[in-house]
Amino acid sequence: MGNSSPRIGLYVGALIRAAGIVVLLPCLAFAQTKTTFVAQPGRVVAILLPATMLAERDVQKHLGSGLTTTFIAVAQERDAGGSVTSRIEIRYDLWDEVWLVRRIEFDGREDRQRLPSRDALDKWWRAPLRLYSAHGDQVSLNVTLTVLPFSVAEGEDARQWISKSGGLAAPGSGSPLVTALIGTTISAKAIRSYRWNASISFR
Amino acid sequence: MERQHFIPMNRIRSLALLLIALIAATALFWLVIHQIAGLWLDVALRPEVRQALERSLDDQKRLRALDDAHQDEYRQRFESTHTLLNRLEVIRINRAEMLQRFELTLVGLFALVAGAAVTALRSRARDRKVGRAPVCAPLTFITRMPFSG
Repeated sequence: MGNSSPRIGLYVGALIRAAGIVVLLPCLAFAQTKTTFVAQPGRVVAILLPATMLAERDVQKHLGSGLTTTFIAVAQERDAGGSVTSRIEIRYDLWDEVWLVRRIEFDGREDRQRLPSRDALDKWWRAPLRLYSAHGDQVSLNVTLTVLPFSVAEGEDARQWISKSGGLAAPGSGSPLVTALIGTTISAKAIRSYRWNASISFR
Repeated sequence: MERQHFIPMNRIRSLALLLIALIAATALFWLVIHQIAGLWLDVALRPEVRQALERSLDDQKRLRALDDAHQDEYRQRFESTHTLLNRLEVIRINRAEMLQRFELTLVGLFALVAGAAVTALRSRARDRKVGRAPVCAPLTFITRMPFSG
């Protein structure tokens, strides 16, 4: 009987730790990286993404793969239905050894560049990404940023290739079974996700 | 009264046995499929394949530096190898999901076919036990009836 009390304490401690993990898991799914939101002319909200984001192990690994790493930012006004999407695409061109980057902001404004070095990429990355156009003097936003390991076009190319039985068959003669079973499974799943809440005043 | 209880118990036991056999056969099938599918996909995704393709990329770049006249040709070769590497990388990223769907579909199909086969065999055996003709029973019965007119 004398030993039962510490043992119960151990069990309770383990249970509390397990409960803590269960409670924290959804929070851990979204990484907490500090970022800054800025108010721009025309009641536009922009985000300043930290350079440390590109240096994170998972992201860094995919950046140099030759595939297009895609960053999708979705901004949604709190207590409002609609959301707008902005996108950043980064691909390392292995032949010319340059970074091919593209930034598409919420209003369709596009910026394409060919950057000669990693330093230039970091500098370009730090430029504000325009996310949202507010209607009032104050806006509260929920912003999520998802990092995908390849672009839609690259996923589609791989899907078509595998559905043609490894590229050996003639175009269009792929097995429908392989297409249905394997081809449709190919999709870019997020390697990292971030979520922020921001309140911006334009006064 | 005793007999009435005995027959359903037997039936339940044989049904349970059949179900266990079906589950065991499906599990065995999944095990085989899991090994084969993993092997088939991993052949293409082996690190040696990737390394060989990456070496080929480096070689094309080195050739470009040595033989400027054929730069376009080396670039073309480089791009096709690079595309292949990209495709393999996309498949590697989706490997687990692809295998899971492939295996689940095949195992589901196997379980369905095996279940249908077992049901058909069971009903045939029951028919035989009762003394009925298993196929086209009503038709056989009509043809065997003596002409009553």
